[in-house]
Amino acid sequence: MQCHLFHLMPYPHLPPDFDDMKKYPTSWVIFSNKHYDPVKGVELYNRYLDELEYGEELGFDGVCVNEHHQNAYGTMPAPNVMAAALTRRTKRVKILVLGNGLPLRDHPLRVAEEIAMLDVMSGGRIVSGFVRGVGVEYFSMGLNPTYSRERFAEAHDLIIRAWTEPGPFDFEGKHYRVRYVNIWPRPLQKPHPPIWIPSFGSRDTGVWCAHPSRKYPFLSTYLPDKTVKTLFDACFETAREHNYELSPYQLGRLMPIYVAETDEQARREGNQHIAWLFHRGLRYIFEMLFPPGYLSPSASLFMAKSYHEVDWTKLSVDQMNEAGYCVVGSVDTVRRRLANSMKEMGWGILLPLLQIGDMPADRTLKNMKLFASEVLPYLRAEFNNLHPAMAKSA
Amino acid sequence: MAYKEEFIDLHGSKIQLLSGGAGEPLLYLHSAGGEIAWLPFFEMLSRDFKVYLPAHPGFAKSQGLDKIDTIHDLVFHYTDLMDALGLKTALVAGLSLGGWTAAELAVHHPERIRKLVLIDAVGLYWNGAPRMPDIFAASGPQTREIVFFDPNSELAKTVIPDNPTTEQLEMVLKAREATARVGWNPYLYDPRLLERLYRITMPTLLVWGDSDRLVSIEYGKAYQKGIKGSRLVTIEKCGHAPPIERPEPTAKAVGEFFKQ
Repeated sequence: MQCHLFHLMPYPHLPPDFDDMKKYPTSWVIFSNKHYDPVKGVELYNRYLDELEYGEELGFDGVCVNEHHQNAYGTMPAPNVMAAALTRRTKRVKILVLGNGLPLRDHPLRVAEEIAMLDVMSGGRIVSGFVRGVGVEYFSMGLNPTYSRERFAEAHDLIIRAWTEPGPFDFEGKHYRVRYVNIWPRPLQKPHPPIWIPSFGSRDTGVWCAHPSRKYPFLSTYLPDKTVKTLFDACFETAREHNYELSPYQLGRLMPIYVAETDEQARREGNQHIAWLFHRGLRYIFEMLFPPGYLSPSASLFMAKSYHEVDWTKLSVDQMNEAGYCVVGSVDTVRRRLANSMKEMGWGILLPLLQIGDMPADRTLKNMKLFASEVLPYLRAEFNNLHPAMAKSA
Repeated sequence: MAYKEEFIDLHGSKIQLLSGGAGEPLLYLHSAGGEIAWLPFFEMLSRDFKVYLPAHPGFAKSQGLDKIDTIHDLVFHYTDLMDALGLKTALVAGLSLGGWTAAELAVHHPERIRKLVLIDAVGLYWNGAPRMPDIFAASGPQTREIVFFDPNSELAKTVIPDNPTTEQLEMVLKAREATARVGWNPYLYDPRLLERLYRITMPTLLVWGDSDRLVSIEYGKAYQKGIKGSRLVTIEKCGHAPPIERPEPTAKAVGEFFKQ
């Protein structure tokens, strides 16, 4: 089993009346940055980096950063900057950039170059996530969302070729045209840093990842158990159709986890922060979350009809905990639920979000330590029982 | 209401076309709302003209959005469509996005347009132009507020319903995507259009809702200033969509201008 500590680096200092949804319909894009205090930011960034670095000491396999723009939910618009800081302060762990928003960049060669730099700087510890960016981020960047899907596909191809083919060569795409593709440095890992795909919940993406030409780890984010199961089943099905067996290391789950001494204590300590994450940090305006053409026509229609299912503002934390959007509970509860999920859904990668929303440093450390000492070793043992042949490769 | 619906195979893309009436051909280019229905406005005009109402590529049941990147691709599309319909020239009227498209068509091919009507047309920008609200970020009720003089009217709630059917939802999503393709950034304008308006030499009428909250009358005045000899008329108690919200006075203004 692989377990990589996830972090969003949220900005917790929201106005006291932020629960007024009329006044603050979203914490993204149109929520004014006058609410961001850079003096508080100094403390936050350093604290959050400390937490990730401490992840190495606690025995996590990797630490994760990610890209989001113009919001209080996650203040890492340039994840490669954070990854660079981590390369120098960690020695062993993987550094997972989950991921760079390829279509949002003016040029994907910048991603190819930066990831190659990070890979060389870190001695080959980089995992390179590719994402399209959240729909709202097309408003942030003024980027035409109707090209999102084709820009992603083209950027993906260009980056892989830039990493693997000797340059200079030329690339003629619809969105990117370069006469001289010849990046310096080249990445250290061969054939290139692993590509992982975090996804909100697209079946198409899961199937694309599971294709034998890619076999990219597919990471589900904030989804309830039953949806994750459906998505992962589609990946297994794709592998079967192509006559290969899907590895548990092709499936990952990203979820907020809070573990404490008892179920009741976990709820008492953790629920408020999970509420911050889903009810404030992830407070979206539907039309901005799904801008025109961001999803395929069929997916757009499906989402427009079923949005109520992912409208977290309508769900209580207890409801979300029960459905599996998050895991809150005692050591026993958290162990049991994650082990069951691992067994039933077949995943081998867990990305726990242990600093959640406005969770302060002391509570975050308590959560991290308890998870790392009591839950993680148990899950590793369970995984090794389930997949004895893989026990070593973990 | 006598009109027919057909599909034109335009160089491999299926284009939905409604048409009706008899007389000089009148090509109507619809707005971002995608009004592909034989509305009273078209019925009124069809008494004096042969009205053609095609759906832009990507709207309603038309294909071909894959051939559209900019507003200029729509100009190619409409010269092709006019060729396919055997229209050497036509009277051309356009609303909002369709008005912008009509203006571009007139800039590129003034010889194909006998008379031009631009209704609450987007397409222009200049330093200090009034800011248009972001239709791509607006919810249904917000869109009603932006588009209609009376957003609480039965009409407004029928055109933009709170609980659309699956079919209506599909049309809205397609319209949003096809509009965003040409109008996301720059936001519903062509930076070069204003300086090229001198190329529009045919008689031109500008029709504006007097209470347009999306494209204010300042844009109408800018078109008027740029198009030599053009006239600007307003429709009273009307928002951004005169053919829909006030069909009678709008059809009268358009019809009389075309008949003169």
